[in-house]
Amino acid sequence: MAETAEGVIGKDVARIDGARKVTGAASYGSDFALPDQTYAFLVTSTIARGRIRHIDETAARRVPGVIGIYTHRDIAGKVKAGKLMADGGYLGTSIQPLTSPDILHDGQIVAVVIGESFESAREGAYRLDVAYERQPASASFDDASVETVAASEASKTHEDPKVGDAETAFQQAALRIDVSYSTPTQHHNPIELFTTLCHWSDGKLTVWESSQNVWGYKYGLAEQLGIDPNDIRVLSPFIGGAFGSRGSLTPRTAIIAEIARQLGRPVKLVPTRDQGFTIATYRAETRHHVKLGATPDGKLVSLSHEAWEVTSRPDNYMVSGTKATTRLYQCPNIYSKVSITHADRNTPGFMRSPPELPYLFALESAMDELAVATGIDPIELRRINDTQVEPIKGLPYTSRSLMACFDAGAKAFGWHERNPKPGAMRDGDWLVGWGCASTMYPTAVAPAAAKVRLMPDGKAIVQTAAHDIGTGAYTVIGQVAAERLGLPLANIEVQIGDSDLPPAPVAGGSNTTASVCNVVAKACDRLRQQLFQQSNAASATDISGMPLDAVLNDLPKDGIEAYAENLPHGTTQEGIGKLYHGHSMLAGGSELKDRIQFAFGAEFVELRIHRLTKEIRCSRLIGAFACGRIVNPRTARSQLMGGLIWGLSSALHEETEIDQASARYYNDDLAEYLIPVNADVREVEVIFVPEEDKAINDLGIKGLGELGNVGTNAAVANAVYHATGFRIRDLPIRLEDLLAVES
Amino acid sequence: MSGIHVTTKINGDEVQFVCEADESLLDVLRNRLGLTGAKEGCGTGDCGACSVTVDGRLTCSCLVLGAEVDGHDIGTIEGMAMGDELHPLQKKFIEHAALQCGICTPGFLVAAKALLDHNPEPTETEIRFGLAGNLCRCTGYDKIVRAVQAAAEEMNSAKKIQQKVA
Amino acid sequence: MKPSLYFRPTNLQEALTALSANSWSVLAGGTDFYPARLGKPLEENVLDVSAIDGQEKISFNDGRWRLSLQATWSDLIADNRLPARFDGLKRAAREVGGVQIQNRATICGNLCNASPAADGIPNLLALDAQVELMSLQGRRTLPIADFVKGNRRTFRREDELVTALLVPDSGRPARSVFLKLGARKYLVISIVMVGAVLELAEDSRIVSARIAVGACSPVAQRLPLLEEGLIGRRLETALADMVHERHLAPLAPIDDVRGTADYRRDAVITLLQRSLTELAR
Repeated sequence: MAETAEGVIGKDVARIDGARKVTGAASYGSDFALPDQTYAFLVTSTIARGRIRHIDETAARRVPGVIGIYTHRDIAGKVKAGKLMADGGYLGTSIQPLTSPDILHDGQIVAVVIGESFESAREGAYRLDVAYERQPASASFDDASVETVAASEASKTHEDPKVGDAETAFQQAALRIDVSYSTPTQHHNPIELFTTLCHWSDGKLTVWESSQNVWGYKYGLAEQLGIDPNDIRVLSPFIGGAFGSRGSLTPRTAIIAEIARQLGRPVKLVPTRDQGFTIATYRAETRHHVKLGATPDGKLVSLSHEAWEVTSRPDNYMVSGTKATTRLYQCPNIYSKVSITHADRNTPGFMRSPPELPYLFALESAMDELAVATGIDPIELRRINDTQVEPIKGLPYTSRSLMACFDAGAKAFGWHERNPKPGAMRDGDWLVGWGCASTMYPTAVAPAAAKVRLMPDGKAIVQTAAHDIGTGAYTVIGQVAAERLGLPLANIEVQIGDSDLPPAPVAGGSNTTASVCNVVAKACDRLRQQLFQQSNAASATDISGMPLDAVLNDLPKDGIEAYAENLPHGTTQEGIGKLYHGHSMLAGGSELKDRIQFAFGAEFVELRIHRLTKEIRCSRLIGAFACGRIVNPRTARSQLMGGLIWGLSSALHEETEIDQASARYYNDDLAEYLIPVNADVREVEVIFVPEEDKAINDLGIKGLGELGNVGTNAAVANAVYHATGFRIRDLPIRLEDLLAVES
Repeated sequence: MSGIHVTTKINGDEVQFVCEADESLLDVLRNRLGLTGAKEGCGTGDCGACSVTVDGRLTCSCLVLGAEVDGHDIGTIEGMAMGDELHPLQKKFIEHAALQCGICTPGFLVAAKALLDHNPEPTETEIRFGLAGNLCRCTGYDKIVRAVQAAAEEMNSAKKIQQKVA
Repeated sequence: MKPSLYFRPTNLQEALTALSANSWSVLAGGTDFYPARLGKPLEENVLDVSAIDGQEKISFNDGRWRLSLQATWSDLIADNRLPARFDGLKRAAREVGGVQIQNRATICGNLCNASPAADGIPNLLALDAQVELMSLQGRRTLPIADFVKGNRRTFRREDELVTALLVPDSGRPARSVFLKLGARKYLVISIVMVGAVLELAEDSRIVSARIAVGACSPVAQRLPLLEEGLIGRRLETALADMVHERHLAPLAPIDDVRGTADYRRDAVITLLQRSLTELAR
């Protein structure tokens, strides 16, 4: 073999699935088509709370091409509700539509119309007459009839981290910051719609649906449909954006599967963009009360973080970001408490950096307020409070390079030229603001399994039911296999996104690269071992560097295969059992007994705010990140850059608006739910701060997909303050928030 | 409803299909003709994932009825590569990591090609402007602009070499 | 339930005959038509005017520019014959959406759709454009201001087709501008927009001024007081200081998700100042 594969891990290579994606050959959920397939169109509720009084199907049935109408009358008893993922289930909501006439949130599925064509199904849905018995609905926090409970009461496993006596220390502190913040409702809005295609053949169900969790879907559907999981296959080779929205099973999948079973034909659902706002999950709005007490020289003596999150009536979904915010800085006295507010809403779910984004916005804004109060530079304030040991339990970080990130970022940004006085930096009619913030994201690794087969022609196939949500999973898995087997990358075929493959965890919590690459490496090592033992070409002592050429000829025609399972640090044997039942036992972050695992970064934002119109433009965005070993700098950079822009978008644009009276969303399209366009973002720079973490896992990998968008929110708000002297504590920051800024 | 008979050219080949009056070109491409490179992201012309060209002009296929394209030439992502040989834009998108999940990629490529067909040497602003009708939720915008710049450069220098040879 | 018809006439007579006989939704590009019907079947008859022949998209005759019902925003942008008074409208054309939208959306269609946030209308007002309507009864023209009735309503009769926009051109040197404020850089629904056309004498004194503001009232409005104040003045950046709150009397800005009424008022003043500064450049 002419090409050597050494050093493929860490190499800046182009993604191996690129050609399929640029030619349109990559098939996403709704790109699959089956002979005899039918089309589904959803009818969703126009009220947020109440009951279906009656459904008149007459007009809908008359539409040519309509072949079926399915309501709770047809589905109740056939599809079971399931448990939330957080409660040990597989679902994103315990609200299972079509099991009763009850309406628990806006846009709940109330009927599915099936047509021979998409158009006939659509027309049938339009003509279906649904009458409701409407009851008053509570939209959010401020509604009188919501119910707020402490998270510790709602969930047995919830913990509110505390240490020392925060209140007394706060009262005695020389400097006190006592402020409230809020973050809005946001929707993932991946560009791929929430489509599903289901087909039954000989009692076996195949589901084509973009999923971040094919094994979880398989087991969840089995439970909901009352069938053997082995009779279900979930296929998700390409995923058109997920950001958490496809991590847990949503109600539509079992419904479409059940309809396909009753109908005896394949059913394809392509919902509309606005339906996607209510049939899947979202990031719920949060409120925060942060109190910081410090010495005059900036040392934290008290940190208190109370927060409230919205959830649905039945579910105790929560993100509880205090796990992170109580551990970011050294402080002897810490208090935290999370509460959840039940409103008449769909159950929220994971959305990129679920806990860290809203909670760090609050803490990192408050830190900036403390920097202003103490007159200490924001970076120096963080240095003063930096730590290598988390303050709640005194556990060591496996590695933490926060200040190295700040130093690298500050240098690239030119931070030393910053005039700290608000409004002091100008460019013509534009007020210039520079802000920064810390970012952090837990490194979690889960049990996983993988199979590798080596063929006599020197090609290898790697199989694991992992997911590539755009992150580059195909490529990094290929790189690890190439290096560990000693083959060129081009010789590796990576098969993922199929629940018939060896199980891998949910593509969530930025764990895929660490979880999957480690097990693939293990399978490759095992294969080499088998290979050399079989061929007697070498002793088992050192085979890692041996070329494969000599032994390939001896391989049987269909090659040889190795299978591996990996139990990462902090997991137990139980984790393997769970893995084979579609559960991901993520271990890491602040949940370990002996240590704490996080990736860190520092984010810098330059804003320009027009002194008259208050238009806000971002002119520079720089992030410096330390996240262990980078398997592929090109795909990693893409992730972090996308994350930075996501954070910017979250800070300045994104908000799902809710009509308080009806508890319904009203900006549910891409014209009014603003995400940045090409022209909103100019200079974005990603800096990798080298970091070696040998303890974290064999390959030294930390996750990074969700690290990028966390700190940006506070960095933007801090830059707004620096430009204008106005502290905006409620996201997103819109120009009308700055009207009072003197021009 | 009786079907409407439509004769059109897609990627240079004559294609005939029958569609209903309320069927979008996007649905015709995806559901009737099996051309699934154009994606549906919104149905309202806001995301550009369904971009195709109609008589060389960049268009959202979700905003056109199948019936409207009778007698017109359609270009889709499936017609961009010459067999196995990728178009320079496709190569540069891969090289510059100008794609992540890839769902917006066909639309961006069709838009970028339409831009370069009309304006072979666009400025950065013209590129950003020409691609403003396409949303990328993985937000790889900067890399997309760099990829288009690099492709334009390569195509122009190739053209110059050809001219010299001629 | 009635089946919808799709009809694509190839000449004007056919189109007008159809309009006189039946109720139709006129499809002229469709970029607003389809989004408004997302998730619904077509319930109406659709009259697609894209194939009507003999409609030169943009032409000039007898001191008037004619933008036909088939002229798209892209056609307008690409037309190098158009004089400087169209610069503002061209700029609005670049903001109506991405290239995909500019290529399909027609100027007449944008006007007929009559959205308060329609990007084209302030400049059409500032160009003093007339709407040409045809029916089997004959032809009539209406000034833009008399054509748009309110939010998404116009004075077009059911049997009429808007066949063109007519823009007078005195041949005098002119300057024009379009400015828009939105939360995002492109592809955003306007919070406030300003369109202006100034005609100049040789000594660069302002001979006529038409300035219109969009998104601050149900229908875009001209600002006669400001226009009068400008006439006879020399075009220079100092004119920006003239803009005063009392000029905004015709406007009725509202509070909505995109901005408060007070903000809109402030923003209009700033945009007017920027417009005048830019015109003087």
